[in-house]
Amino acid sequence: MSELWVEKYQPRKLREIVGQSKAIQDITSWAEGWKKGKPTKPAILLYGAAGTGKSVAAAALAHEFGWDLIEMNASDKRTLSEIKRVAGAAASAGTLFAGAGGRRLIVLDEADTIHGTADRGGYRALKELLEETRNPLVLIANDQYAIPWDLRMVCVLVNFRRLTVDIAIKELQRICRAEGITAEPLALKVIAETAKGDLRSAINDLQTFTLGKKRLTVKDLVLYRRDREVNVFDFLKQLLSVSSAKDARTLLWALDLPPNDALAWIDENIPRMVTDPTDLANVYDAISRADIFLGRARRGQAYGLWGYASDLMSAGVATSRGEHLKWSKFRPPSHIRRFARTRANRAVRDAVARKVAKRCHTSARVARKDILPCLGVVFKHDKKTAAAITSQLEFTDAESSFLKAMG
Amino acid sequence: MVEAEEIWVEKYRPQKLSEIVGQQEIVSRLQAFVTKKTLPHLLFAGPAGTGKTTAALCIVRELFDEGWRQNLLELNASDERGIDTIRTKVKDYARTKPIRDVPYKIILLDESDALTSDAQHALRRTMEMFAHSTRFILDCNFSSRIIEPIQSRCAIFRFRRLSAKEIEHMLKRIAHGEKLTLTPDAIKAIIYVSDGDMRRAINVLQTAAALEKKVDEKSIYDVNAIAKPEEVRRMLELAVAGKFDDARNKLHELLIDKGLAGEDVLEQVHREIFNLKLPERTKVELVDKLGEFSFRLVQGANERIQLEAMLAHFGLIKPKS
Repeated sequence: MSELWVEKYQPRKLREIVGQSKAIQDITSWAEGWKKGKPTKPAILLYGAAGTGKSVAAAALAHEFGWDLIEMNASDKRTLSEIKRVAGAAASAGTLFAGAGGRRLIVLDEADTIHGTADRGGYRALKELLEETRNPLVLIANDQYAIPWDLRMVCVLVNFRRLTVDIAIKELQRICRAEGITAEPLALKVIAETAKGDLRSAINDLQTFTLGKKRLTVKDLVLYRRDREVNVFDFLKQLLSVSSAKDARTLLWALDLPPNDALAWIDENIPRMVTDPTDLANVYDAISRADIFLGRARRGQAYGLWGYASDLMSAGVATSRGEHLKWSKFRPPSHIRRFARTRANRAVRDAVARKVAKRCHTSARVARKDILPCLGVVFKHDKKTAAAITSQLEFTDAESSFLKAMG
Repeated sequence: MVEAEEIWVEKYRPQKLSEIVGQQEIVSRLQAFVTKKTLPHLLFAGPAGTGKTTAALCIVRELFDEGWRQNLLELNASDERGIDTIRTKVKDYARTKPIRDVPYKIILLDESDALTSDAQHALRRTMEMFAHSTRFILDCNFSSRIIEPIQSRCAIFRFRRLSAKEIEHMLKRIAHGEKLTLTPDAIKAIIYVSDGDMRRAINVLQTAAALEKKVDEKSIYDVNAIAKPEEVRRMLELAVAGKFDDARNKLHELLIDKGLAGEDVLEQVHREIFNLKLPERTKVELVDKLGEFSFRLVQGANERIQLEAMLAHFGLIKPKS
């Protein structure tokens, strides 16, 4: 894929954005307000489903008003203080191309994920930011109600609606014309319907299915993903046949799963099909190295490392899996099922371990490993001592039965 | 305590420094601290079951007498969810004044080498922040896993494995207290399986005694098989035999059903390696690999995936014919 069509055909002007005329009108009048200084509502909240044009509208807005665009991800607190610094700066200072008003448009994507990722102070910092800002601010979120009401109060609320099938089809047709592709009307309809109002995914799908072709028929869409799992299965199947590192990487990019989940699926399925021990060890080198990068990314909040993890789990696995594969059915990560299946028992086990650990001045970990097996034998064979320990540590019936079953 | 203690590791835990078996030099230096009522931060390093926690508890008891419980906060690095919880607990605890005439309270942080180095740096700052009102006693297996800045703030004590004689002494005391018959062969067997770990020795004895009041060599070895799961060995055999799927399944059972920590599984594997029927050179190469995986776990990698990778490496071994 040389260029992503979603970027190539991205609207540059507000009026080019389809299906959101009311939203565009609201955005424009809010932005006009900034020409006369800071309005009472300094921020605008664009909310709605994915792929409906929110980010595109923010970019087009900056472009049309001649404002510098500063995009930031609000999901951690460190960036928030950084945003504060940028937003609070004098409007005239700082910008090289001081056009109309010389302002900066600050765009905070994923504004609904601040809560939970950073600490509770995240929204407070954001509110302060709204009070102090001397520049227009755009918050982007999927769910407006994920943002506290007092913050919403000081924003102009703009809803981006899911696009209708007709509008999506029209856009797909426009791209087909520009790319010289003949498409069956029904094929475009299937893509548009499956996208459920998400134009970005519709365009991405169109590009995927017409890769290297000038014709698109309904038949091409037989493998079309009906849900996420089909997509994963398809991905795994192709990972077992792809031969270049680049193709493997592209495959993973097309998969709509966070890297941790993708790794779990790969880890569950690919090793089972590798027959040669050397290949298996190599495959696991790639998987375990990918895991290391994911861990580093998580702990250092250095999500740029995801790129390396992704390459290792896709290209690394594809280039080391060898030729001799034994096929078996793909299945979801088994450790998740195991966790679900053993949940009740583990809860009892851990409750026992915590009580014992507290009593014996040690960790639940040591209790599980060293003390519980011994207590199990005591509980099975020595009723009197078992009863005494039960009352001393206040074991429930379930807990003492658990120990008895262990012995 | 009104109720009789039934878990022997607690029942027979020394209450005073003078009752501690072994570690004489350490004990006498600790006693000097207690007498003068001055305590630096302490770092206790050494294998499991050598008296680190006991020594810490004795210090607190002797410093504060019956008020010891109020002046001690016990934390366990492997159980607390991250440094933030530890920090919060320390903060809440350090806010109140110590109760008696000792001007500080004690925080005992067990398994402190379970903290990543980032977390240890945060811990260091916490130690500084409350230095005027608290003293830390840090327990760990390896002092080398503790970052330099913490080491340099602590008086370091290295606990060694207990000798056969020291363990025998304790076993006889318990046998007397519990009215057990303990044959000399049984004592030897316990010493052998416990490997200088007093907690293990006492656990094995209590388990065997639950089966039969007369404890002999055979009952010790039977019990040891229960207390020390054979499953780790079985898992390795499956991996070496090329049955990767089964080996991996076993691993998941250990980690998820049994709730063992990845590091504990690795440690068991480490112990087993030299007992496997493998070329000697291979054993050493495997130990090298294990060290690498262990390091990755310390660095915060996912234990399931890393241990699966370890099993894949065991599959490369050609068993000695």
